[in-house]
Amino acid sequence: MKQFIENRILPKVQKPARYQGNEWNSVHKDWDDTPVRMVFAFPDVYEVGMSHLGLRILYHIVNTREDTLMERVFAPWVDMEEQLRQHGLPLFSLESVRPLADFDAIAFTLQYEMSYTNLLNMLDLAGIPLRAAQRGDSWPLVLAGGPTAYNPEPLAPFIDAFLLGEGEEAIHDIIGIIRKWKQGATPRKRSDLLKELAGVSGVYVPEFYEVSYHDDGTIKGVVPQVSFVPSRVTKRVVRDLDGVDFPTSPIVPFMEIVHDRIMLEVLRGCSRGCRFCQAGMIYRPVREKRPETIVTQAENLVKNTGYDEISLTSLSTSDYSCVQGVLTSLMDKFGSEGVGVSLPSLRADSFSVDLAKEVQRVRKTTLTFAPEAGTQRMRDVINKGVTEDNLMEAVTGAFEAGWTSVKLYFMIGLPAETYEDLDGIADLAFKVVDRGRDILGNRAGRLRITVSASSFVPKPHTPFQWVAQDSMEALQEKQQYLARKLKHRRLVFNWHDARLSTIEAVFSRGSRKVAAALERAWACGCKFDSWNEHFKYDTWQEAFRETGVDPGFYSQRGFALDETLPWDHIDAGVTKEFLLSEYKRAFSEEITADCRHEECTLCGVCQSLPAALDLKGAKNNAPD
Amino acid sequence: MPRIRMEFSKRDRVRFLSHLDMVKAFERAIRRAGIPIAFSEGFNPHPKMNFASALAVGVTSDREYIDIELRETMAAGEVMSLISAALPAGIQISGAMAVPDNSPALMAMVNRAEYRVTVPVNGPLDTESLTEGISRFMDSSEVMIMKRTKKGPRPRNIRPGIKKLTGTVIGDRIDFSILTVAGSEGNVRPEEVVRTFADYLGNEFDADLPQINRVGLYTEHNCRLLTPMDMGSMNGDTEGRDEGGGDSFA
Repeated sequence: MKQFIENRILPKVQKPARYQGNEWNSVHKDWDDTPVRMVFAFPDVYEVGMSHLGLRILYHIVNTREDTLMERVFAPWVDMEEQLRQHGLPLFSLESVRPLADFDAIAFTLQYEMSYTNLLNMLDLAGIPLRAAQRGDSWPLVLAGGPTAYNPEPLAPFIDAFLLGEGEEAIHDIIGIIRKWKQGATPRKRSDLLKELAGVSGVYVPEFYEVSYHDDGTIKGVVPQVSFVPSRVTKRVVRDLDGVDFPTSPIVPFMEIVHDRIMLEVLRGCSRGCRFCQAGMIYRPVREKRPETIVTQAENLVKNTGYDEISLTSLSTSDYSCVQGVLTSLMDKFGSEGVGVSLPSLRADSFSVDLAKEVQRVRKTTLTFAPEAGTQRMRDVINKGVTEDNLMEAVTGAFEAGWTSVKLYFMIGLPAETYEDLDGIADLAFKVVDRGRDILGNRAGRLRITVSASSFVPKPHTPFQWVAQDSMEALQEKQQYLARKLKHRRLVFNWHDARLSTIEAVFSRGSRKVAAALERAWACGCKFDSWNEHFKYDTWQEAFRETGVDPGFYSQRGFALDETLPWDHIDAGVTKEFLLSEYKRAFSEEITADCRHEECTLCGVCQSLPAALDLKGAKNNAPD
Repeated sequence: MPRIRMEFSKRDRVRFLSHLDMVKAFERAIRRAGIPIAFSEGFNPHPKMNFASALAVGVTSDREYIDIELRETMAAGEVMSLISAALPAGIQISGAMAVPDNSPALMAMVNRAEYRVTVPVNGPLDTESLTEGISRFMDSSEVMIMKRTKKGPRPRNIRPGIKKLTGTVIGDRIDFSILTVAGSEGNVRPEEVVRTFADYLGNEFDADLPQINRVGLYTEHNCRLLTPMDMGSMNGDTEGRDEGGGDSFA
């Protein structure tokens, strides 16, 4: 198979380096000598999947174990799929070019809902039955984890077990169970394996839970069918970020990938509390790495990868309490070697621009800020602790330092949004244009302000989880309204396909009932939905109709506050009471402070999980 | 500034890397190896390295060449062993030498490329009739192909760019040996030669998935084919060398 793929298939596909599998630092273990064999599956193309830090972390942690190997597989691009299907070849892992069905476990990561059709397509290409119930004792275990696993229900029929939360420690528990099961008495029963796995903290085995519904389609209850599973599954969380293994010899891809640089995580979690933001809720509590850990890891990363750029990653790196010191040491250490430092996510304030100025090498790129909403009222509703003054100070600093291009991210379709809030977006954009012209003077010809508006999608485990999404038509109208308002030669306006956002909402908030529509859409050819050229809106609508799933029931309906939510049996640490109180505060336009700088908000995380807020520096980084 | 020339091969799965991927692979290997490479001046400094020729995706090669400029002197043998240890599997350095910093750029120097191309035979064909077909093909003064250009397809005569073509039938395949003009002027690709010859012969072999290996890159000099390593030592003898030079590892 290996020779055939190399000589007959790879020469025929567009980007063969996607399937090359032999990159620097890739791990190639002896198959026969390794008792447990896993494959990490990313349901999108190589360039996207290889940019994912979670893959690098788990690949490293698992391959450090002597008893286990972990290889990789990505969604093959359509040209590759065509070749595989035409020659009757199964989807294979990159490292050893083996069929996926040969592995003990396939571990999917779920980064966004619109990758679900790719997941089904990958199982199908591997020749593995899609539904867990159809898989007998000899098929690989199909695992899934990642942010959208926090509402596992739309995928429940297809996945054997979900891992909720952080994988660094839980993966060892899971491997231990697989290994014991493989060494146990034959014939080996899949049901025994699932029973053992369900006992691991953070693991959810959907087939052990039954969902019952009211006549109106809302959920009556999600009830364990066996005695050995918890009624609610609580996420796994790492207490000490310095204590867990971080890969300092990550794979260095040959082809250009989306984030083609060292990704060095400096902190995890965010407690700013934006009410639409799922990441800000599910990755709590905030835990920082010690500056010394970061500097040591950076040294090893540069030595082991040869990259010329270190990106300090997190949900919001300017919030890292030791950011200043770490930047200075990194630049002192690597400046002369031609290795730069970059900050991927900047808060919209002057402190962040000062940081950006410091790391900026000669090449000036674009600076991106996310005010998210156009009026102070709306920013209070969503608890985005950024004022117009903050933003204007930030862009002033940027223009003064020589940047000529600035990107502004906004969200439309937010709860309680009016057209005044949209006007606010336009006003803000024009104020930034004016400021840029004033400061840049005769260089104003290069000024370019990009305004991006994404559409709000309600997400589980957020204060806005109950909120109805705007209808597709309403979103499109708002987009057109803004497009008309933002016509200016210095402005570029981008927006996302509203049709896609409405389907995303269905799988964000769907129950097990939407799984049928997903399967149908895939069967009718939907895949790579988040790629414009492959998104088939009409096919999706047909799939909903044919399976009797009303998409509006999950996207456009405001969920009742006392309704059982499809994900109520999943515990992300943040309590429903806290989310509810934040929901109410949103509509009375009350802001809630960040617990890093003000008092504890009693969100439930530090109260219930074996982890706590962990800052390594003084609170000198607090915004005013 | 000291310049080091290296000869390397590209085999196995790395043959699917594009030229840009290869440039990055070397850049990163050089950084991992801790080689004191020189950087260009300007707004966006990049490491100073130059390849002799871009190799098409999917093609293996026995001999490719790269020059790197150093900001401080280091012996060619040391550069070679350090980079060798930092290069991904499939890329192997077979020789290194110091070349004077005023010697011509690799890209400007190379004007011939030699290939071995293997294709499956469709019908009964033996070496004798193949050879006879080749000599008729080579007797023609025009071998036209349609070349894709920015302005659309354009006809082009590649015959002047085919310097040598021989073939041997071995079982159910043919091994061609091809010498073409390479470089910025009159460059001819081996798959173009094999494709037009297949059409000429009436598709007695399958040119769809040729396995191509580049055997070498040369400068034609007084009817002799000289490798960039030969050229490097020729120039060096008259121009003198820095102290890292003189040693040649081949």
